Amino acid sequence: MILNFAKNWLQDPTRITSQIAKYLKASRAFDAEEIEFDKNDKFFGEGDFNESVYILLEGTVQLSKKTPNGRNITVDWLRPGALVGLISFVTGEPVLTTAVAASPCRAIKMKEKDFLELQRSRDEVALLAQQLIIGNLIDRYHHVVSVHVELESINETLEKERNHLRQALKQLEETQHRLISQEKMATLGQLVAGIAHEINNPAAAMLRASENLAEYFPEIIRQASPDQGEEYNNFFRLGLRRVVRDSEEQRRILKEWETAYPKFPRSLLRKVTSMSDEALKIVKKQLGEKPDVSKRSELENMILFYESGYFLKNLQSSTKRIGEIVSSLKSYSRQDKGKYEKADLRDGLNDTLLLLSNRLKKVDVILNFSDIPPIDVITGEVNQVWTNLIINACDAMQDRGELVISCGHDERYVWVSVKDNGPGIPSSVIGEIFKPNFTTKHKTTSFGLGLGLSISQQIIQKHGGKIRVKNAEKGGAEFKVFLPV
Amino acid sequence: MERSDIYILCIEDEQEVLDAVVRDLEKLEEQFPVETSTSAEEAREVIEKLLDDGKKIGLILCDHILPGDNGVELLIELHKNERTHESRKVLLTGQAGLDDTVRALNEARLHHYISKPWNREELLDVSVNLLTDFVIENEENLLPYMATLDTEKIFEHIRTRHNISDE
Amino acid sequence: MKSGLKGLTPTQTTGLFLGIFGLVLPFLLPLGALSFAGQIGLGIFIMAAVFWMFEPIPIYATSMLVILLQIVLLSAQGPMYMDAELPSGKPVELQENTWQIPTGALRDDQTVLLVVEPGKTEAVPVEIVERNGQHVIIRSEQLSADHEIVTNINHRLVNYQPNSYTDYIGTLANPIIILFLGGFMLAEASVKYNLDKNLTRYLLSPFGSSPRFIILGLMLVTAALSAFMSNTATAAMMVTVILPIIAQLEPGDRFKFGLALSIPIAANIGGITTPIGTPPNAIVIAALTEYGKSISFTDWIIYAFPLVMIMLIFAWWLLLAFFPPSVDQFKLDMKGKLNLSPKAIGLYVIFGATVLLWITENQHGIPSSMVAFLPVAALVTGQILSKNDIRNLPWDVLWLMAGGISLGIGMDKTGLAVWMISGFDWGAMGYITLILVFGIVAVAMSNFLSNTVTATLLMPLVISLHTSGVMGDSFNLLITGIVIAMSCSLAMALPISTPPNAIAMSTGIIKTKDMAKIGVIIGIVGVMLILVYAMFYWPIVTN
Repeated sequence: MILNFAKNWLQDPTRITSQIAKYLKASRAFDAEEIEFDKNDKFFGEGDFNESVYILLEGTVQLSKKTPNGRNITVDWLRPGALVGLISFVTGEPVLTTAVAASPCRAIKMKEKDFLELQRSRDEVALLAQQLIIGNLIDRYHHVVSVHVELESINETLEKERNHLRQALKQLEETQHRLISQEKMATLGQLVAGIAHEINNPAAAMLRASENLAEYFPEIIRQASPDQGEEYNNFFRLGLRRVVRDSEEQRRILKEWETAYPKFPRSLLRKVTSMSDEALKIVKKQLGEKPDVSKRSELENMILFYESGYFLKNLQSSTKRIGEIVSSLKSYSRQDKGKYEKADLRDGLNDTLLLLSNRLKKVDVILNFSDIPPIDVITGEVNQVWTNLIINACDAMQDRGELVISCGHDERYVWVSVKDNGPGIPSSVIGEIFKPNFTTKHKTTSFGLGLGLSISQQIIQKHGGKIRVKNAEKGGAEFKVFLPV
Repeated sequence: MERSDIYILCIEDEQEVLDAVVRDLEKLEEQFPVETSTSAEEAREVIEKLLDDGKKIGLILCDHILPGDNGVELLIELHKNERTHESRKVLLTGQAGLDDTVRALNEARLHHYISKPWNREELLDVSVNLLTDFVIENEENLLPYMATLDTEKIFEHIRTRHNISDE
Repeated sequence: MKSGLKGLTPTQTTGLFLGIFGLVLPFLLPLGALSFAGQIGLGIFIMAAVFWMFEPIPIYATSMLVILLQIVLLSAQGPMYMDAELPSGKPVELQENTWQIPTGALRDDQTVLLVVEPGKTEAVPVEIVERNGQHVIIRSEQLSADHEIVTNINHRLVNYQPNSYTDYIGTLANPIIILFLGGFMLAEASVKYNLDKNLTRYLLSPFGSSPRFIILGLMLVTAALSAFMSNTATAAMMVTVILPIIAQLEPGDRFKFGLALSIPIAANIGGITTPIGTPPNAIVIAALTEYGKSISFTDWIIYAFPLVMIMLIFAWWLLLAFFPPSVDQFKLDMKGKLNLSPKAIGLYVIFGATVLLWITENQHGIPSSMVAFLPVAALVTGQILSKNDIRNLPWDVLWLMAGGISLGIGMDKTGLAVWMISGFDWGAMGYITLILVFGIVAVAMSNFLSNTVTATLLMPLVISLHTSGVMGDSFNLLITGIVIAMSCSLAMALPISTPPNAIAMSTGIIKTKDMAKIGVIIGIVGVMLILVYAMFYWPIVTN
């Protein structure tokens, strides 16, 4: 019978409540009053001790509960036919949830003992009361199950969401890393372009001035000393063309001259030693076999013009070097455009090597370049890769050893290989070196051009290429970069 | 000016720079012969040879980065060598790697540090100063150095240390 | 360094061999009257003179070597005379006035040596009667039977009574050396506490800013300091005072020569002022004291001060005449602060007391060498000078003087000094000429040699002129000694003449030519002035 009832309950719970209400109205034996609630009126609050139970006849009641964070969440909605305050009523414990009228409600309020009395009465109403209780329990159980199911599905979505976020964060980090590097290079590029411009102007002026001076000088000499103009000019020209002697040989010549011309101060003779054989012969001829001290001023003059020549030459060659360094800096960091251009990778490699020449002073650099076709690259970025690979190699070799840089191509790829003779990469880490933040260095490089292998790899991948690493047979590591033709 | 047995050694691998350094030291060269070398290896040979000939090395000017070697390493080595321990040592450098310089100061008792580009007065002042200290500590007769080196410092030394006293 | 031993110049090498040769030279020459010990003494003298001139070893080392050679070769305890005994015996009387003596007792000039007292003999002429192998028979009325005659006239003890080695090494504690030690320690402390610099600052300030008076001030201050300190240290300090002044001059201005020369000139002259002013004074005083002519600190100042003042004023005038000032005004900016620490004040008190006691020696009679021990003891007791400061004293100068004094003792003892003057008829020269000659020789020698060495080499001659009496009564030992001492300090024509000259020269400001010009004039005028003093002033004040 009760089972039968359960079906009814699910179909129409109000049928039972209306019957109970009718009975209660008719019977005067129970203390039950029918109460009207306006919207938002409270039945009871969470934690109250509840002595009554409400049988909801009309309207909806919202059950809410405070979370540990102090937020109110709705845990259930009760429809007509529901018993409001059932659990606390049954267990006698404080109320679990706050019950508030979500719409104007009508409910029968019964004292605890009356409700118990109702169940125990001989009338049919006892059965109804039991049915009411069971029906309510069924409802709650349904609710619990559905909440569980819902929770589970929400969790699932959450987990998915979280993974997604993690992925996004990682990508963001990498992008940021790359952007910072690019920004760094871009700033450096701008800076360098600015400085290069500023330096180029005076350097160009210096070069021009020194060339002009070299042109005027002979005329000045001729006018100042009509007699010996030609001879002095000769020394000036010899100075201008000076090829530096090995200092061991200079010492030998100095010794020879010191014995031959003991009257002349060493400071003067030492200057003679840097002269070419041709110049030395002329000086010897001018001084004669046994020169006296009076010849000193003549020797001084010869040296004066010779020195003027080579200091001018030094000026020119140094100025030229400034120009070269500036232009390599410019082309090295040419990424203000960030565009793909046809370029010969060897130019970039040479620029990079020139800029790193200080670092490479103690390294034997062996270039093994074969002809390669120009390919589309972002020069500035690719140069970063070369820098990175070369600096890594230097670090590995502790700045001493042999660095072989070679290039070549097949139908699909142009390749560049950077090989050092350092200790090689331990097999335990060889799989990890392209991961971001991988480093074997404990101190930062003095000039932050080494941007990490992961960035290098990204740059190469962006160009549609690949980067491979292996340890050479005789020790040392080889990085090989392939870029598509 | 009498030529002394005290040599100045310049170690620098770039010829242009070496030319400039030697030219700047010209004023001292009449008294202190200048020797040059373009690598650490050569510097060692030159030093060995000079010392074997009974010469002294008063001042060593060394470039920071040399082919095949580090200037700082070389100075440390020379400082540890008894025969060049007393020589005044100057590091000439274009890049200010602080670590290296500190090491040079601590381990090679680097006497001075000149950063490129330098000017002639600075280089001369430093050299005169260091050579003055060197002769005061190592030479018996200081009078020959008076006109070239730091006169006042040498006089003060004579006044207080009775460097010359036979009358 | 073409030839020569390692580390020696050819000149030094020559000197080394010449000196060693000189040591043995007297034994290779027939020197007649010179005793064996005299020959040793002569050898040492030649060696020392050559070494001092050529300096194969430092001059103080020569001094020490002299003392070593003397204690080994000349002293009673040295191997040469350790067990020696003069061979002597009584002549055997054959008849009246006819004696038989060993052949070895007869000298070539037909005399025999009568032993008067140990180390002293008297030659007695004899007449040879007959030579008979080991004996000679002679006739002499002056001999008597109890006469002791030298039986081997070539023996090394003939005419020589060796003295104890302590006489030679004791020269380092000679009163005059102690006087110098006191002076050195005062000077050392003054330098340590910058008393010399501060004194200079105070003393120079009244001279204003006019170049003429600045030069005068510089000279007076330099002279005053060098009267008590080493001339060298004074010159080294004062040169640093004039360098900033010279920097204010135009590059071609010749006034700077005058400035730079004023310092060594004043330092050299100033050294004359007191006994401790410069070592030659010590050599002379030590030698004179040996012969009973002691000179007190006060006496010396009385002799020297007027000469010093006149020489300074003359040199001042001379420098201004040659190098007139080109500017009206100089800025003399000497920084410094008087050290007022307890130790420094202790020094000032000791300094003042010592100098006061020295210059008033005649009033209280306490010998200056005794007074000199006041600073010696007080400065170390008060910890004003440390152990290191004591080690830093110019001990070489003390040894140089000690060696010089020791050489003089040896020359006198061995009869060398007397022998050396014996070949020349000094009496014919006349006293005034003699003083002039000594003055000129002293100036000339000490222009090339160390002043101390010059005094050391000349003083024995003066002493022997005195002891031999060849000059007669007109000779005045005291004045001749003073002439030597002062002449030695007036040599300043060359950079090598004195260390102050070398110091001034080393600045590169002066040319040798200018120094020589001024130095020669000062030397000549100085000797003339000394002659005048020797004739008219010193005779009055020394009596």
